Amino acid sequence: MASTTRPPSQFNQPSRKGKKAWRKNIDITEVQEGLEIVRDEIITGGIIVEKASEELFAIDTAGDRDIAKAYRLKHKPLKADEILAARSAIPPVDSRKRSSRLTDGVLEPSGKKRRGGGVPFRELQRLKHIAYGGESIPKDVVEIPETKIYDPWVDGSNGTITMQEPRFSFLEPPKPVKEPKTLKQAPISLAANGGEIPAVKKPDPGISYNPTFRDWDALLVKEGEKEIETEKRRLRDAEEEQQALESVTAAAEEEDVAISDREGDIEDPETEAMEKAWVTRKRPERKTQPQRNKIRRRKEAERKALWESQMKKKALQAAEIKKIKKAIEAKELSRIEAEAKKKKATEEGDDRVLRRRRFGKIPIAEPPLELVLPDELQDSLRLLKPEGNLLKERFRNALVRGKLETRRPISQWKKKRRSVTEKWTYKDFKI
Amino acid sequence: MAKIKKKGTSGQARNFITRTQAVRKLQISLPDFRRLCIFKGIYPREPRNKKKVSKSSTPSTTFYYTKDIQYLLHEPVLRKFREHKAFAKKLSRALGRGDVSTAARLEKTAKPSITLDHIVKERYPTFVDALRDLDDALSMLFLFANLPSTSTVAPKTISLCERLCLEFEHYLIASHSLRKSFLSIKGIYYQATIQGQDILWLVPYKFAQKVTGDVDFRIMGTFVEFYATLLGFVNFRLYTSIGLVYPPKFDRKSDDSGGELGAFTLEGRGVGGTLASTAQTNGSAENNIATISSSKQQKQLESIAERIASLPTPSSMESEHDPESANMGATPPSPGKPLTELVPVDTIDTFEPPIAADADVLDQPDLTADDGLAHLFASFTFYLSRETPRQPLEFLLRSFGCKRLGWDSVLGDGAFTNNEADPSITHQVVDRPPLPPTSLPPLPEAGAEDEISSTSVRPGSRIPGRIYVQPQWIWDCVNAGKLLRPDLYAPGAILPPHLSPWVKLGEREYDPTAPLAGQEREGEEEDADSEESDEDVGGDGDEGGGKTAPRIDKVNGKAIPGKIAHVDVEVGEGMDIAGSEPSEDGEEKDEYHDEEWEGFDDDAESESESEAEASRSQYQRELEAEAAGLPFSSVAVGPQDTADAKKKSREDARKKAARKRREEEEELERAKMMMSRKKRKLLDKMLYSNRKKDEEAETLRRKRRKIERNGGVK
Repeated sequence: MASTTRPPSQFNQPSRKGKKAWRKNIDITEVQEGLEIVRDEIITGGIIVEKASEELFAIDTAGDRDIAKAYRLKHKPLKADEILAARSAIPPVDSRKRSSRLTDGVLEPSGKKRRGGGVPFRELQRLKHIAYGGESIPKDVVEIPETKIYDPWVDGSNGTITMQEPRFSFLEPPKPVKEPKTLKQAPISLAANGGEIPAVKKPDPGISYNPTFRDWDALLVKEGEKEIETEKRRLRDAEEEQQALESVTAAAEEEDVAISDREGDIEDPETEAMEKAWVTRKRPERKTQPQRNKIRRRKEAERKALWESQMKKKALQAAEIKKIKKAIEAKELSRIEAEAKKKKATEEGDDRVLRRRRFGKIPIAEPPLELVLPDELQDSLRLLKPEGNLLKERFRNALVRGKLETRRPISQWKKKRRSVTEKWTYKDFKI
Repeated sequence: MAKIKKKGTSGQARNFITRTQAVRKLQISLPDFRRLCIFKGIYPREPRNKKKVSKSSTPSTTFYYTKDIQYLLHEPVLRKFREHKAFAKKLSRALGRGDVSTAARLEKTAKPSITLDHIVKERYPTFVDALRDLDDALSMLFLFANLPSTSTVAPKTISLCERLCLEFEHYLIASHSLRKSFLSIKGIYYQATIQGQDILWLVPYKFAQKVTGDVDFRIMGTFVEFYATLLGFVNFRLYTSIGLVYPPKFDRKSDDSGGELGAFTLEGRGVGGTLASTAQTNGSAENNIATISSSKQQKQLESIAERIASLPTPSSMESEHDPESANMGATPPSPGKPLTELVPVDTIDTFEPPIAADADVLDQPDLTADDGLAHLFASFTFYLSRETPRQPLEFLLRSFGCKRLGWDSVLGDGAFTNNEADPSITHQVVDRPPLPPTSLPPLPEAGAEDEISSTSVRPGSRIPGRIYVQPQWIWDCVNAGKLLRPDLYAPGAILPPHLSPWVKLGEREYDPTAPLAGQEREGEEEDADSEESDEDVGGDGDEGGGKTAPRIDKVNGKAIPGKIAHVDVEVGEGMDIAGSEPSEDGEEKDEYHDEEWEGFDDDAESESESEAEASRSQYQRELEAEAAGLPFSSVAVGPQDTADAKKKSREDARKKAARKRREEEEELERAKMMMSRKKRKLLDKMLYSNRKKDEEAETLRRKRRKIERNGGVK
């Protein structure tokens, strides 16, 4: 309706000629609307333009959360950027390398250039040793504090009480690691009689620096007999070896003779007999099929017989299983008793007579002869020449008590293997 | 059909693990594995059947329990070993870059290190366990303390061992727990008793140890590391148990000048935790107490001590684990008494069973029993000549109560006096034969003499008023538990043999230290006498002594009297010589209150020997008469009659003994008839060996009797 009766609009009207350009037809809708708006504004509480901006607006300092969230989801910053962006309150350490020539301006730098950066040469050598030495150097990981300040045998003295966090009180406390029972078992003594070898043996009265004749003589005789025994054994071994060597050479000679004989085609019954005595090697001959069949049949029969006998035995045993069980138990019991008795009888092991089975491949060295010979016997402490070597003795004691296995002493450690190759560049030449 | 089981999944194959497998499992190197095993006390084991255990065809030689190795995985030391590997890599990287200062810094800050404290507690759950294993530890540490420093043994290790050992020795001195010692050709054996545990260890002679190549020093070093940790804790416990502060004060300057034991100053923990220092140095133990207690403090202490004494302290309140409170009750250091005399707090539980009136009494161990032994040398002042071994002598003398001990200044610092001419010296230990007077250098001129004589003594000369002994005297006194005759040990004398204190003699064996009368069988003496008289008739009386006698002379270079002479001390005591009259040596008499010294003085006088002889024979006659039951008057008759009577009585006794023996034998024969063949054989064997032993012992006794008869009591 309004559109039909609308007055002509000033700017849109293409021409001012005609009825449309009459004053009554002039478009005043703009003014009209403005007045109506003003009227409306007056109705709703006052003219807006005249109002102060504080009355109209409030500043939103928080911002819209949803928007921020949405934004962050879309544009996530890198972790690296975050870290780089963080700034510590402490100023950074100056990481610039300063030349040793830089001084405070008072002292001139010395002409000698120090390579080690103030670390003395020996210290540097030591460091290199640790760094490149590998297993050949002792690593002093274990530190022995100069003094002890607590008693480990008083409960809770070393402060190893673990406090549980109240947050996790519902959890079971962690169980302490239980050590196995086998850990407390004594090492296996290597004494021949199986007895435990003491760490320090009670001394023989004969090794007194000023012994009674009886004790000393007894010890001398005992050790002397042992030495004689070993010497005899050595002689016997040498003789056997000599004999073996002789027989080998004799055999070689005979063979030579035999070969030369055969070459010469000289039939000598004597040498032939000797040869026969020497080598009676049987030549394997081919079996015929009937022989093979026979052997097979025999083997089959044997196997069958064995099986039958075993089954018979089994049936018998099954019949009297209780009896056998009892017998076995009795046997086991007697064995245990015998072992216990043996152990009790030989309380102290002799570290000189060792059993054959040992830990490690190389044999344990014999203990040195600890005895003063008649011409060295002195009765003054001043003139005494100590015998034996306690270092060796302690080491041997540890071996013999089964605390260690024997090892060949390593004087030179394995070096890293390096392969050497020749460069081929010398072949690439042009004339 | 039953399920087929795979090989090596159960039984022995699971229980054991080879060394290589163990090393792979733990991911460390073999040397580290060996060290770890030593620290943790994991030893190689032996499976019953090696073939069943190892999967490989090559024979493995060392096996361990799988559980042990599994347990090692929790070990903090293992972790540190691994960390060390990482650290070495870091170091090599820094060095490869030429960044030496970084490497040095890494070595200072990032090097992994750990102590073995937790392992000590783990391996020795109680203190007694630790004491039981102390034999090995002490021997090892004393050995390393005496080693020369080489490339394989660091000087740091040696000094640590030395310090620990000296601290331990100080404890033994303070608590008087050393019992025996023995000079062997290998070294010196010591035995101490701590809390009822006998501890035996061997100390090498000074400068006698050679470092050889066939000993693995890395292994030995590992043992030393562990044992040093152990001994540190043991020392701490022992010191606190007798109310001393650990560690004792260590004077480096004194140690550098050879102070050794004297470089330490023990401190007692006084009442209420105050420190009371007790210098353990020579000769000043009594004086030093005064320094801590000024008059004011003294009063305070006394009042506190009184209060404590008046308090009714129930013994149940005293817990053993609280050394502080235990000390309060047990050892308030009274100002007059040196702290060295503190009684150990560790007490022995007394076992008091309900005893019936006629029951046997069970001997109880007693801590106070060896009190006399603890002060064996208390009243003497010793001086050690420069040729004597100072370290063992100092340790031994001081642990048996010697308070003042001087030595030549060559032997190091810490002596009570370095002046040989000091008048307070009562005993001097020398180990040099006396020189003939002609070989001595001429006396200096009169002008210089005054100055010199006051400070130094001419070498080889003797100062009157003191006793000169050889070092063995001290060892023998300690082992015998009493003071022996020093004249047998005089310089230049042929020493009696040094006997091992650990020899257990069988019932039938000859004991050289015991008197003859106690060990001979009934009627033996009479038998021997009659034989001897027969031989005298025959003309060769000396042959019967035994065939070994000439051998002794040849081989040992020593006369028999010298060998057995020290036995005679007790014999002299046993015979109780009537004619001994102490005449001249008044001043020496003051020092010796022991009975046995009564025999000593009459040896010195040679003129009255014949007189003494007569009186002795008279006394002998009296004794015999008493034994035979004759009246006293019959003894007093002339020698002719007495000889007859003697002969007769001897004959009687002999017959009686013979009859008795015969009866016993018959009894035995009868018993034998009843036995089975097996048992009879066994008995025969036993009897044979017994007879052998008896014969041997009898030979020795006969020899000794003869010596006693001929030489008299020497």
